[in-house]
Amino acid sequence: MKRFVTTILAIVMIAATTGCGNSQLSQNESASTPSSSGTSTSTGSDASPETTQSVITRGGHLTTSRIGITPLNPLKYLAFQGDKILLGFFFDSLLQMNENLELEPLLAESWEVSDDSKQITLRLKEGVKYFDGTEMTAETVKYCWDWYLDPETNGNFYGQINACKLVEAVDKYTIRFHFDEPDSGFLAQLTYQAGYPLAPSAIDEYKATGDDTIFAKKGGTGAFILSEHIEGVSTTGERNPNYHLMGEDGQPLPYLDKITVTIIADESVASANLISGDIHAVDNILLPATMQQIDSSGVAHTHDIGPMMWWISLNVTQPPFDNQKVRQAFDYAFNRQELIDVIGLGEGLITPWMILPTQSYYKDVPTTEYNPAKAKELLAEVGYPDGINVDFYYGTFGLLPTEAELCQAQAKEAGFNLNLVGLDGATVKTMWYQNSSENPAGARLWFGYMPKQTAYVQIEYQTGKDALQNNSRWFDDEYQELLSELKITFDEAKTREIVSRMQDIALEQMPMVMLQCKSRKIAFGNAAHGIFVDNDGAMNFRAAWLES
Amino acid sequence: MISQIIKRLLAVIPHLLIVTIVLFFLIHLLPGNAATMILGDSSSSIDQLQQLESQMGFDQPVHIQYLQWLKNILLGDLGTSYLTGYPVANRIAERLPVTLELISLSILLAILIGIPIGIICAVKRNSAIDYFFSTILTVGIAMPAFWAGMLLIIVFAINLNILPASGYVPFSQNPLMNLKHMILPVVATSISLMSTIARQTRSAMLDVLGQDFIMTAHSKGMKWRKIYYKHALNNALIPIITSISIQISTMIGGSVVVEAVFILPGMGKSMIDAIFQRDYPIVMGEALVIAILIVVLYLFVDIIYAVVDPRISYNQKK
Repeated sequence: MKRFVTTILAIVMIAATTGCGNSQLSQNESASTPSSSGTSTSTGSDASPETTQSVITRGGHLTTSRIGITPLNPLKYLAFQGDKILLGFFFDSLLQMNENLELEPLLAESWEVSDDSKQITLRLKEGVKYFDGTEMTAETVKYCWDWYLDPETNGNFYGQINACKLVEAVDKYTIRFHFDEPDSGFLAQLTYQAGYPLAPSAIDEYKATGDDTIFAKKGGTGAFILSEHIEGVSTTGERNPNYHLMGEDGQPLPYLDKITVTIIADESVASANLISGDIHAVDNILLPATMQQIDSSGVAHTHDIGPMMWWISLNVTQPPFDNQKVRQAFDYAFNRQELIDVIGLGEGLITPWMILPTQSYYKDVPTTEYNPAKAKELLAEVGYPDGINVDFYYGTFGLLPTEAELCQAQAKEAGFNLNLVGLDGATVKTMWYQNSSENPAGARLWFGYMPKQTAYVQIEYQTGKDALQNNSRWFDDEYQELLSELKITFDEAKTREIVSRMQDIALEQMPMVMLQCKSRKIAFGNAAHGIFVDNDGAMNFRAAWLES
Repeated sequence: MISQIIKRLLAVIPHLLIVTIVLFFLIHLLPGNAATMILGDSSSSIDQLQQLESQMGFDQPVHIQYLQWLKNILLGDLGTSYLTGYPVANRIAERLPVTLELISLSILLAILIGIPIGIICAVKRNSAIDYFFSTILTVGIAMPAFWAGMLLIIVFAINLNILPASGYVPFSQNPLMNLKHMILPVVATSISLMSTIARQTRSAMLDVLGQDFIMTAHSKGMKWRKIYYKHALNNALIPIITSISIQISTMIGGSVVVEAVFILPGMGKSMIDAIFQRDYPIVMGEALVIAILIVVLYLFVDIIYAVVDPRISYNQKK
């Protein structure tokens, strides 16, 4: 009898243990409070909540999280958008971009593009000091850019700036960039790592020692100076007393004494730390369950930072997707509204191509409806009356597995038997690089943060002739010519015209199937204020403060 | 004995060599390399990637790359991270003590609680106490460390707010804060181990308690407490020590889960991150250190065997 009771008790306790473990999955699958679909998001705003405390408080130590490592050397960034969170502690850029993707001055007060678009002239702000105490001038910026443009330096952004052939210091605070061919994306690049002017002394010391931390200690112009760096764990900066921007109280920024970024790869762990008060901000929230947990905590809240666009790349060099009709059939195999309802809990939107409705060059055309019958009809026409097997690759993190499983269920009805191939993110990414020797047949599920800074960058990233991320390995002569033309076009009307034609070609040939756009969020503790969020959703803390 | 130990240590060298060869070639089988990790998310071109790969030596045959790595190791240079340029030796020096502290405290807690529970269960075999603890131990073995960790954070860090949710303070910097930060991770890690040790102790004790010499000792008038702790436990320790040593070697590499939950800057998470990032110097350096640790561990366990059981001798001449 005793043994029987104990056994029953053990079974009940184990069931309770596994039952608790499934509760999060249940939350993910149910649409709790769906908002209207087609919601567009805005970025670049001050994401802080309203506060009863009206007086900005100086001092304090703010801690934020980051999902992965960020090299302190800005030339070696790993994620050019996300790495701005940490690099933005120590480095200000020549320009910055607001939520409408409009350029704004920062270290450069004004800029001018010549009539032939082959010269870009910037007027620098006077009185900006590097951490080593020297002043930022046109000569120091030229010194830095001469180093950036040296092929031997091989900074990660070299491919985005090498259209510039010469940098000229016109006078003490005026710098001019010269081009053989115009580059419409160049100014936008000045809002990223290439736009960080580094002190010449720091560059020289780096060349001599190879110390990647030297720029954050001596070479930057940002609101904080590096004080502690625990490799792969956390990075701390202390207030830069010579920072060039002023606060609302008439004193120099920043308000904070110290700031730390801690690497927390798992967002549920980051969420727990945010709610417990151990950190004040979280850089990346994707799971609806985590968003709900934070918003219902009463001590923190989430903030929209722009959508993630989901798509499937089809390898057009291998069967079955070397056949255009098979690709078109695949486009009919997905119920995008259901993806929004399940993955995004009702929040999201559908676009026909990789351009968002908020972007000036967006062209509205009908999106493909879920039509399994039509898909089967097309498959039958090309010799697959009984359906077709497809290897479906995806990274096993975040929402990708859930989306992959839902896609599998939907596509099955349309005659596509998706064989799910889940791999770690690094493996699937490198297998699908354009130059990979693997060249896997099938399809890859992926997502990207949109919008990117220019039309050319946004489109080239996935479909460029030389782009590593051209997973489809698709090349169309007219499309590539238009892409080259897009790169040198500054005129908005012309940009719209070019992008429109490119969209027509891409939708006809279908190297990629667009799925849905889902919002992504960051989160703050209610005590954190003044955090600026830019067009990429990267937080900047130069004007942040903590409630006392 | 000492000569035997020295011989054992020398015999380890070819084993370590084989371990490094196998690991080096295995990790190079994974698609991609550090260059693709560095350039992959930016709008980079194939030419840029090939240039970076050449700079990093990835265009060399794999065996040449291995020989280069081995040469540097023999010169005492573990290399630097491909992604951050940080010296591997520094990273190991920072991370290893954290993992060792986590493992040591977890083992200590698991032994201090697990062995007495195991003894109680064996002595009170088939009683209500035995069934109660057996149930608890089954849950402990089944409970994933990640879930246990999150539960502890929710209860003690969020709801009760008496312990920190994450982070690490070195013992040398602030012993009290160090212990405060380690309580939850140690408990999360030790739950499963404690349960395993308790179960192993129970089994071993039951085996020993059934032997004739135990009955002889009792019939000679020895008190049961002395029989259990002086005679039975001593004889039951060998399988318990074996079980603990296996668990420790698993924990050295398996601490990644708890380190991720509690944001501890340990070796486990460092290794996993390096594998995903194809940061070969870190993977090889940390793998080498882990291999050495495991070898030393097993040597230490063998010495403990000889201490616990005088019948075991490593001297070839008697």
